[in-house]
Amino acid sequence: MVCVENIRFSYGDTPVLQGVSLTVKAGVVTTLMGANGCGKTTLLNLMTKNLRPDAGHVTLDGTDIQSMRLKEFARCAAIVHQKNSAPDDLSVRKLVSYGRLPYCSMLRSQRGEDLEKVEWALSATDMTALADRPMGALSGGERQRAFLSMALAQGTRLLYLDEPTTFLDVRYQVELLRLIRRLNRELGITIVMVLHDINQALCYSDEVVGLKDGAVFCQGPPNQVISQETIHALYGIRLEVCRQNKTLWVMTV
Amino acid sequence: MRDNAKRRLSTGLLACLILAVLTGALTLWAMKAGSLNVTWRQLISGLFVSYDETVRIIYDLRFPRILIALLAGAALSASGLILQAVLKNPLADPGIIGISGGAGFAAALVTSFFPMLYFFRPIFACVGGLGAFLLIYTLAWKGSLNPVRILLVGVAIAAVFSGLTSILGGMNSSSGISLEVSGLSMRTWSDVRLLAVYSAVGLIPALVSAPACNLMALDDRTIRSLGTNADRLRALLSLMAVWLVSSATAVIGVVGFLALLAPHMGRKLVGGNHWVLTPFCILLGAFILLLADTLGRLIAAPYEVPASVIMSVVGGPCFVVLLRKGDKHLGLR
Repeated sequence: MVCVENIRFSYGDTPVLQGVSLTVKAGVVTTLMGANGCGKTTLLNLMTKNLRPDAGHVTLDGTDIQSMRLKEFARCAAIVHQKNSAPDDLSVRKLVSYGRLPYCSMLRSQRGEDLEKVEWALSATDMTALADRPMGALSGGERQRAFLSMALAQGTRLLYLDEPTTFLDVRYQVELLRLIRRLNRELGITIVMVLHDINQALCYSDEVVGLKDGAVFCQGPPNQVISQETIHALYGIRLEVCRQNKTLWVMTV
Repeated sequence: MRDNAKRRLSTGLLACLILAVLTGALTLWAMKAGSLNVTWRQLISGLFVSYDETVRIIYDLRFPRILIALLAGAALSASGLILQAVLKNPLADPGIIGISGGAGFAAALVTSFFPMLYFFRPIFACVGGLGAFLLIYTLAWKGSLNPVRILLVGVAIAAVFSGLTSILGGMNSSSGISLEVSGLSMRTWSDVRLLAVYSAVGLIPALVSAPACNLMALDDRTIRSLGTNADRLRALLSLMAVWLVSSATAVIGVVGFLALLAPHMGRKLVGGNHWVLTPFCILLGAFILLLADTLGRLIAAPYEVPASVIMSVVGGPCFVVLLRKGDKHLGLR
């Protein structure tokens, strides 16, 4: 679905990515892993048209995303960032309805189809009961769910998440990841995310991509790819890796 | 289900209506009050029925300044509101951050060297304002716009432009030409026409741009991921805001704090939805500046205290209070 071909990128004189290539399969949860500064967020930004690569291409269903207009791209891929701001008195429903922006001009009022899609996105993320609440009254987890709901309202088949759980308590982290997993399983939405927590990455992904020194170090299902050696190579620390009926655990202490 | 949102919208519109009535009442009072005393009967008959010397003077001197105060107040307030949305900084005031200063300097330049271009003065002022805005923007930009940097850089730019304007004034004072474009006194009907044309060109798009201003409250990258180019939107809105400040500044000079206080009060009273907030702030700005001007005429009659002085005296302390309250938003804490 998404093809990254030999991407190079540098901030000024500091090279960050030196020839990254990978493919994201449709209908699958893919997680980018790696130590701080390995370029995973940069890679996500390149895949979402937030940055322009120095060399190489990112294609979406065969089309170079650089040649797509922003609006066009927003109809194909939605993004949830790690920290999002919204006015405190904005209602959740209003925020979610911004997700329909790629389909209408700013001045034209939304059509029935858009309103339906908004209600659908609210219910898919269990936000219907909170739809009339102002954003300022939400907890961190609910807030993040509201933004996920907005991304869903865009009606895309592809969803990018940039460390969506970083600022959440563990309960909300797990709830959000389960929700993301459910959206993938039930709606077939392809998910590409960056996660900080190794175990969450292993547990909730079908594929992991390990980045090291600005290049892809390993890619594949967590079971096949992750071992003590790869963890050591990616994060520079020896950690115990346990297997328990097909499930993989890394002792992060 | 959407009752809540609807109720909030209708409360907001009601607030606009009440404010409009108050502004109307204030205007009537401002027409009557002043060093030249007339009764209502005399005023009305002098305007519509028969010629009256006193009413004629009031018509020529007092009416234009009332209208100019209303228009300039509206333009300044709307521009402050848009700038605050665009810079994501609730303390951005075109007076404080030097945009008015740039506009005022350009207007003074035109007045001193090309007085025949009177009617185009706001356009030159707009060029000056844009110059100041670009300076602030580039100097405060470090990957993103830091709200505190905007204020600090803006204060410096405001000081430089105010100094430049003074130098220009000093150079010209010997030749006897006054370029004081400050204050609301001695305004004529031609000033009213000038300001009406230019501010209308800014105010109407400002009202229509409400959804864009609403959208600007989200993060730039969120806006981008929704398929809208935040930078382009910001450039357009900024141009509108600078235009509004400049047309007001070209006629009445630099007035600080109004563009800060009116939007702030507006947000407190009717919330952050620009569909309601923008018209409310336009009315509120008109109301406040006319009030300041009328009080300035009356406080020390027969002498006048300029509206800008009143705005500074009242606005300064309010700014400090807002600055303290805004710690969280500005990331100072």
